[in-house]
Amino acid sequence: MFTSYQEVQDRFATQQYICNQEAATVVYLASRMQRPLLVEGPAGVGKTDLAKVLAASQGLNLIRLQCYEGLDETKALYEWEYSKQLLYTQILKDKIAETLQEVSTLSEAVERISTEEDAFFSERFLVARPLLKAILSDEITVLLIDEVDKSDPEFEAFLLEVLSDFQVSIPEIGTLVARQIPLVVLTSNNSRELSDALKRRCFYLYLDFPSTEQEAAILKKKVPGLDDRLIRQVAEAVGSMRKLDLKKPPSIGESLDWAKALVLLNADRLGSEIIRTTLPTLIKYPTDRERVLKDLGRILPREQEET
Amino acid sequence: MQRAVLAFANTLRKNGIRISVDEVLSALTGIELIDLASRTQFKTVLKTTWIKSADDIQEFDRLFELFFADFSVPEEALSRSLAQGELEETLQEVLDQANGVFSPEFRKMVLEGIAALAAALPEVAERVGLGDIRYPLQTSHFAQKIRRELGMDHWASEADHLLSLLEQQGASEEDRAALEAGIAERADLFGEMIREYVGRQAQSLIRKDNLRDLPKDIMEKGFGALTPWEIQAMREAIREMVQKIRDESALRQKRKQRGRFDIKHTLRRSMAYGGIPVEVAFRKRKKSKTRIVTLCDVSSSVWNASRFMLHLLYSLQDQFDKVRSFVFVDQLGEVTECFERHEVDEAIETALNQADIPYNRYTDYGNVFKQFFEEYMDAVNRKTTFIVIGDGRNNFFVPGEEYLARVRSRARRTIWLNPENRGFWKFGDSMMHRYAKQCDEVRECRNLKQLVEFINQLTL
Repeated sequence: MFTSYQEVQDRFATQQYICNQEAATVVYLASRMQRPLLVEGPAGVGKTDLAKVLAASQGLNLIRLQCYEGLDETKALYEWEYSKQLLYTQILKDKIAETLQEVSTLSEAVERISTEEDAFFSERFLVARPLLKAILSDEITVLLIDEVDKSDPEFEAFLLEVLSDFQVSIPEIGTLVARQIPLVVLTSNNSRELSDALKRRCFYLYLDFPSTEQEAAILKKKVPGLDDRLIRQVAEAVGSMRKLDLKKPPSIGESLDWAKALVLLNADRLGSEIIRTTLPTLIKYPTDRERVLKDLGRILPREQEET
Repeated sequence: MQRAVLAFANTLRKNGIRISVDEVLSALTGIELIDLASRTQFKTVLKTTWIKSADDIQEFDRLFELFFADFSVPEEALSRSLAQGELEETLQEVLDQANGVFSPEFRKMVLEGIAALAAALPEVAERVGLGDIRYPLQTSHFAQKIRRELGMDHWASEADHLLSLLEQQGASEEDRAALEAGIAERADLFGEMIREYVGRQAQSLIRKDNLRDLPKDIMEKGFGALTPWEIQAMREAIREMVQKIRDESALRQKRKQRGRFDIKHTLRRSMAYGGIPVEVAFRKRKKSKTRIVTLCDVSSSVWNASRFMLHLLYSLQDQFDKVRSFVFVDQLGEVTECFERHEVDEAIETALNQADIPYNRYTDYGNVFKQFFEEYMDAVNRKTTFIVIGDGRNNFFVPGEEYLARVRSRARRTIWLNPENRGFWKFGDSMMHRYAKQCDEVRECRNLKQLVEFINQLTL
C-alpha cells in the first residue's frame, strides 16, 4: 500500500508511467481509503494504462472487465456451468441407486439423500467472471472496469451495488463477501453521462492531455535514441495539433509512434517534409490531415522559421 | 480546518454543485492522509471527492481560489509583535489578572495577533449568516455585522483600560504609546481583512445568473417570450429531460427486445448438453429506429423553437437511425455535418453561422420545398419521418404544397410543428390550412413542454 503521493509517482515511474502530483494524490487517496476511482478524459491519455500500472507497480493481479452495450451479469459476475452440472446429475442417478440399495422405505430414502452433499449449486460449478473473481481473490487485486460508459444504465445500477459493499449474493449459494477489497478503477470516455449515484461512490480524476513538459518526459522515457531538442519539438508540435479542431486529436500513444518513426528515419529536427511523410502515424482522418497541413506554419518549431 | 472545509462545501452547493454528506466525510478523511502544508494536495483531495464531472472543474477552481485565497495584508504586519521583553510579561500579567474584564477576542488580538483571529473568520461568518448574502451591496453590512459579533466596537475603550492598567504597573510612557499605536494598527488591519473576506465570499456566493431562480413555468412559457438568459438556463432543463427520455426508452427496449422462440438457436445450444435444451434462445427483436429528416425555419419568428428542436434531436441522436437536418429561410442548407463534428451547443452556433443561407430574407416555404424535392429526395425513404418546424407564414409567396405532398408520399410520416398559437393559423399570410392537408400530423408546439411531449412520442 502506498504511503504518500510521492511513492505513487516513484513506483509509477519505474513502470515508465509519468503522472503529475494531482493524479498521484488521487491514486494514493483512493487506494488508502479503498474507494473506487473513476477516471475520465479524452481517448488516449492513458486512463487504462493507469490501472495497469497501478497493478504492476505493486505486483498485484489485474482483473479487467471490458464494458460494452448489452453486457450483463452472466458475463460480468458469474454463470453456472450447465454442461458440468448436467454430467453431475447423470452420475448422481447411478450413485443414488447405489446409495439406496439397502433402503426399504421411501422416508428412509429421503433421509439418506438429504444427508448427501449437494454439489449441484456449489462454487465448484460456478464460473467466476471478472467481478466475482476480484471478490473471491485471496490477494488484493486491481479491478479495471474499462469504458463503463459503454454499458447499459441497468448494468451501471448493478455495478453500483457491487461497488458499495463489495459483496455479491448468488441466490443458490448465499452472499459472498470480498476477502480482500480490490482496488477498483473505472474508466469512461464520457460517451454518456454516468449516474450521480455511481459518481458519488467514486473518487474522480479527470486526465487531460499532458503538458508539453510532461509529454517530453514521457517521450524521453519511452523512446530511446531521441535527442532532447527533437523531444521538445515533438512535444510542442503534438501539443499545438491538439489545439486544432481535429476529429481525433493525437493520443499519447500516437505521439510515441510518431517519435519512434522519426528515430527510424534518422530525423534530427522537424521540418515540413518530414512531418508530411510521418503524419500517418499521428493523424488518422483525411479531414484532420488537411487541417494539420493547412496550419503547418503554426505547428513547425519556431526556430525553423528563423533559419 | 474542518470548519473551513464544511463552509467551502456549502459555497459550492450554493453554486449548483451537488455534494453529499458522504462526500464531505470522504474529504475530511482524505485530508488526514495528506500533507496539509501542500496547497495542491489539499485542493486535490477536495476536488477528487466532490467534483464528479469535467464540466464542474472550472467552477471549482474559481471558487477554490476565492475561498482559500491569502489575505492581501503583508505577512510582516501580521507577525509583528506588540511588545518585547519586560513589557510583554507585564502585558500578559495584566491581562491574566483582569480576567473577565477584556473580551476573549481582544485578548487574542493583543496576545496572539490577528492571524489567529482571521483563522476563526469562517466560523464567525457562519454565526452572522453570511451564507444568506444576496447582493453585492450587502457586503459592508455583513462586514459590520462581523465586527460587531467580534466586539470590535469596544476595542478602543478596552485598549484605554488596558493602557491605564499598564500605567499602574509602571510601564513607561514610550512603551504605552507604542502599544497604543500597535493595537490601533491591528484593529485597522483586521477591519480590512474582514472587508476582504466578506468581499471574496460575496463573489463566490452571489451568482448573476442564479439557476435556482429559474421560474417553474419556464416549460410552459412560449418560445418567443424567452429571454437570452432563460435560453441559457433551459439547457440544464433539457439535459435532464434528455436523460429521462433515454432511460425510459432503454427500459422499453429491454422489455420489448425478447422476441419469439428461436428453435434453430435453441437446438444448436442444446448440443453442449447432450441434446437437452437447457438454454432456451429467443429471437432478438431488431430495434426499429426511426430515420429523421427535419427542416427547421430559422427566421427570427421561429428561431427558438427550431433551436430547441435541434438540441433535443441531437442530444437523443442514438435513439434514432439517422438524423439529417436542414435549416432555411428562403433557401435550404444542410447542417447535419456540424452536429456530427461538434457538441450540441456548439453545433447549433456553428450550424447557423456556416449554413450559407441568407438570413435577411422573407421565409419562402414554397421555394424551400421545391429545393428539397429537387436536391435531397434521396434522404427520404419508407423509414423516414419528415418533420417541418415553422409557422407556415409564407409572406404570400407561392405555397408549393405539391412538393410537400410528393415528399409525403415517399416518407413514412410527415409531421408539421407550428410554434404559433393554433388560433392564429387561419389569419394573414399563414398557409397552415393548406400545408396541413399534406401532413399526417400537425401539432402546435409553442413551448418546451409540448416539444418534449412530441420528442418523447418520436422515440417510441
